[in-house]
Amino acid sequence: MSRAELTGHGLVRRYGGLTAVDNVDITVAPGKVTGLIGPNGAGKSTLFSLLTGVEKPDSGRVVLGGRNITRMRPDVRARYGLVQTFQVPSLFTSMTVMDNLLVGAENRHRDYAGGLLGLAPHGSARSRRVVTRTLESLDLTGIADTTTGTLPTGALRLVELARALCARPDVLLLDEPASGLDGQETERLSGLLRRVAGEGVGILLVDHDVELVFSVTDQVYAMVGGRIVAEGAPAAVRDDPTVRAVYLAQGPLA
Amino acid sequence: MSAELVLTGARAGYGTIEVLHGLDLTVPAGKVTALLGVNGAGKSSTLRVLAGVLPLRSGSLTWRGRTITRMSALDRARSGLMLVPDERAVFATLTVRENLQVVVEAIGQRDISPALDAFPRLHERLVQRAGTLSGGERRMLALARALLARPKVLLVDELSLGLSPKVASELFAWLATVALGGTTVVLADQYTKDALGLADVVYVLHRGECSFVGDPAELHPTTVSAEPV
Amino acid sequence: MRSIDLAFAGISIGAIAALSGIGLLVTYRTNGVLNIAQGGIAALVAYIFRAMVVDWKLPVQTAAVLSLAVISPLIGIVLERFVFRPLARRRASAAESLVASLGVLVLTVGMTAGIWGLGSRNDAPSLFPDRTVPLPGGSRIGVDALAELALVVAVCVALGLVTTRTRFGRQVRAVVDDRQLAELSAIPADQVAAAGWAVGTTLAGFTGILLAPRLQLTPYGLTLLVLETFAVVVAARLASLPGAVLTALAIGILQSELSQFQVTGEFSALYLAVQSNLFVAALLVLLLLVPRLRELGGDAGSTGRFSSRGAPQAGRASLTDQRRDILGKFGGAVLLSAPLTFAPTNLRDAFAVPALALIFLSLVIVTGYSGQVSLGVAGYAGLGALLSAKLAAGDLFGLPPLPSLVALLLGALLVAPIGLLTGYPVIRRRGLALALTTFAVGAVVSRFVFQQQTFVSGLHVTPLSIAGHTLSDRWFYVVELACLGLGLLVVRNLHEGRLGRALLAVRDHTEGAAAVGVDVRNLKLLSFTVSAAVAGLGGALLMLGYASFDADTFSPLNSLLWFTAVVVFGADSAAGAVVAAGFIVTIDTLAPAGSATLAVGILALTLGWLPGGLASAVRHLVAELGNRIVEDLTEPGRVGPAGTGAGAGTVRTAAAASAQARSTTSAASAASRTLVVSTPLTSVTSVAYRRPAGGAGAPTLTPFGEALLARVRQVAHTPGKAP
Repeated sequence: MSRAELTGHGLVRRYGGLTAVDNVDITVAPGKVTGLIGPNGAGKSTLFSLLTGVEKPDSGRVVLGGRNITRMRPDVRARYGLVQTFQVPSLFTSMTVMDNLLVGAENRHRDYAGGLLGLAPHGSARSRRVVTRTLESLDLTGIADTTTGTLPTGALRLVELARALCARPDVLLLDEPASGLDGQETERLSGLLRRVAGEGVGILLVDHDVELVFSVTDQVYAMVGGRIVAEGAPAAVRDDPTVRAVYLAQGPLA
Repeated sequence: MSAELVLTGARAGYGTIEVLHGLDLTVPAGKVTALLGVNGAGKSSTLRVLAGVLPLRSGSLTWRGRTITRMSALDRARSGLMLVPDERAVFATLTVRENLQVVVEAIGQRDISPALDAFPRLHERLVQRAGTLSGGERRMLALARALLARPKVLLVDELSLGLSPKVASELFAWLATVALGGTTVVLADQYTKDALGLADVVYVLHRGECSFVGDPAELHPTTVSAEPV
Repeated sequence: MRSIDLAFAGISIGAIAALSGIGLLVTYRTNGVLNIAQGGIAALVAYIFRAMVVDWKLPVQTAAVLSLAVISPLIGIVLERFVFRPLARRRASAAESLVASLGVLVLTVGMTAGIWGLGSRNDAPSLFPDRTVPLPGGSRIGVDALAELALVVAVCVALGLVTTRTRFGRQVRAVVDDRQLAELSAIPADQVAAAGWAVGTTLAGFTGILLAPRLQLTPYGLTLLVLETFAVVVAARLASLPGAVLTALAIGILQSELSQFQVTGEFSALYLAVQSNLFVAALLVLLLLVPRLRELGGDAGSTGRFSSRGAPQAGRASLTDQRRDILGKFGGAVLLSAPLTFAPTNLRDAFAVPALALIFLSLVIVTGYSGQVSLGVAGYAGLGALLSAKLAAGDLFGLPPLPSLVALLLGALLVAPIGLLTGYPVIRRRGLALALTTFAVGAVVSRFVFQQQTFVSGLHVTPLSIAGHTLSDRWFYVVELACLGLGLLVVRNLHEGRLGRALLAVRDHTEGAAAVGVDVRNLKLLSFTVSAAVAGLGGALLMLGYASFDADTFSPLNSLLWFTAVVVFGADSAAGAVVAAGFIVTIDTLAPAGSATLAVGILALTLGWLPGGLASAVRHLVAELGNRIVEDLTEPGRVGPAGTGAGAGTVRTAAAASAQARSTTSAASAASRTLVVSTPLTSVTSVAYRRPAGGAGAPTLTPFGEALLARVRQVAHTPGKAP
């Protein structure tokens, strides 16, 4: 099945005198993992917020599968298939893993009046099937009935990803999904990302872990001072002189 | 060599995220200990645990043999365990002079001249608000303020962050003289030559766990990859 | 009177408001707490001062020194040390600080009312002589106005000098700048915080003592007046001292100047209302019209969760669960029906229980289920009462008088669109802005509707009747119970199934909910709308129970009291809401006026130790007791099979971490399950549960112990007796 492509065209965001995002073009292609790297303060987070809709650009457009979504709220974007995860896992901590995932799966059911009058069904069999399948494919079935507030970080990240998948995304935006994970868990995560991309979902990955980004992505954007300074295949970006100078020079990646 | 600080089985984190997964750390007295690692490895969190800003979820901390796991950040600072945090390390709305005064007064002194001797550049900025200083000057002011409190242990987070290599080298050189004076120094940094050159002991952190500990000379470039050893 | 004289008259009130504002700002800047209790403290000090002068015959000067230099600062120091420092120590959320200061407010109002009664007094002594002095140009100015202005100037100058010139002042500014960095620099931030509280409460004391002689002194009236001066600090964006002072003087003078114009015609009442309530009008207008104020004071209360109980889990209710549920509901129904057997006077006292329970349920919907602070519920309740009374009397939109039962329900329904209308701007705010905006909405409705002759004069409350027969007290109570049942049904529907999950998701993590496509805005609007209608129904019943419409019943201060009560009894517990109503009505009936307020205040201050409110504390206690008993009933010598050991071990560890009863059981079941499932991922994610399971020598339960534990777990799920 063909999924939608996410593009940002000429995105600009200013805070007072500072231009945090300066005329950025970016594409997240279906079935590909796209990476976004850059030092602290490069504007990665702002760009990410412009794509998710948490912030609105001063100029430029965000397009999802040919539809201009620049002015849409984050939840509307999510119902069109643009789903994000957060640096700090955003789980509904009083609910079980199962219920967390159900919220994602049921996001297009908005029969509130019926629910209020007690007329709407308590949950459709279809949502439940989506959730069960996702739980199985991520090996989370064992903790389906656990309240998420009691889970360790590694599990939280996975459950958040599972919840995002239950919302049936075309494009996944992941903000530092590996932070707080140990080496083993990071390896699993990267395998999972490849698998999800293999199903046709486009993934944008923002992470500090340069190793992870370069090993799992098909395409990398490097950002410095609000601009994209390099883009292309991971190997090419890694060897780009600008990227080496401003970003990797600090690290021992020689 | 006697141990200044001993951290055992430290677990700590923010909200639902655990960033230190049972870290063990021994800081030798009178030496420079460097914590190295990429962003998010847990360097800053370790310093914050040592300073008492980030509470331990489990594990313990001793200082010269005395358990201080539950001592407040204020009491640690008063007893001479001082953290210079990486960002917002100055009182931006106070002038440079007030920034220095406020800390000498807190320990019952009046004289701010040692700080100005150490960093003559601050002399010209005394009446300026700290928020208007350049990045390098701010770091100087933060270090000068910590120095005035006559710390026994100085914890310095990301000294080189956002500074030009020249300024960073100057500050590292200054830190070396502090260490020579007998103060125990713990610094967290990226892999810079300066940090490695200064350190007596190096810890490499990776995802909240220690992946290397030893003499900086043993630290072959390949060891310092993002992967654990 | 000439403009200039009016201006001088206005300075006086403006200066008092400025003092209040300065006090609020000092506390806020040094502690990060917006002291909602300012009004209650002001009233308490004013009553103490009055008692010293009038009852104990102390000289005014002595009384002033005692109440302002000793008692007022002492209140601040005690509050800092015993209420707010523990909260700051454990980095409590801004929402918790808000509830704590609401608790202090309720407590102080309760103390004042409890000691001196609710009646009004007009013998409050004034601090300054009631004389005027001539000014050049022929005008005269009151000595009080001059003195108050001088006081404001003196306080400002003193604060300015202390903060810029002294060692302590430097410490204060360092703490205000960055409290954590100050502690890291060996600066004693706690002392600074205590000083900030002391200054704040002292200025609150001044505000109270200066305002008291200007009005009919009542505990509620004075408290409310001081709360309305919040407009001043809101205009100053909780930051600028000169901003607060100038705003206060400007509103004071404007209020005075407006009194010289006579507006006739249909707007005369509105004009008069605006003129006499300029502070509260300014508060609402500022909050609604200045976009920068939307994020005022950070994040207090928007995602503030006051309890952490989850949704009823879908489709897995066991037979015992169902039985227990039915049993609980039955017990509650019996208790609620008990007043039907009471003597007539006692039955009338019980009228308020279902009505108040409905109002509390409306707060459960908006605060407990969707996580929004709402400090204006009395406004919606009062509107419900007013609308249904007018519908029944045929006094609305030229409609004919409706049957009273229809009027009751229709009146409540008509509050829904008002909830929607006010909810729309409100849901875009968060933190303190949200709290203050809802308060301002309630206060404006009270001042501009409930207290206006246009709306309430000659209002006739028609008793409920069916087919022409006026209902007896018993039948009226039955109708009340039916309405409560309806409310509980609505609450249940909002808490179950897809809708319940989506609402809880918004409460638990608004951004996270939006990120997976939950329609956050409409869900928040829905909860505001439904909550308004439920509150309206409760308000209408409350009025019918009293057989008259009384503006005091729907005072904005009651919104604060009711909100606090709901949080104390567990904001997301419908049973808690009903119990809270029963508790308040019972205490108010049996004990002197103000006792219930006092009790709620005391309970609110214990919230620091009972994070989920009373309901969840009871649940914890039962679970904890159960585990203690289990400890005694296990056989320490015997090592059992891994499965049993895992279950018991996990239960105990979770209880030690004071996990909730519900999560305890699910954690236990997860633990035993993960022992079977051994795919790589789950084995990693279940590390937390494997630890207790691996404990060799974990004691096993005796059969009796096991049976008992099962019983205890069941009981732990049902805290209240009501459905």
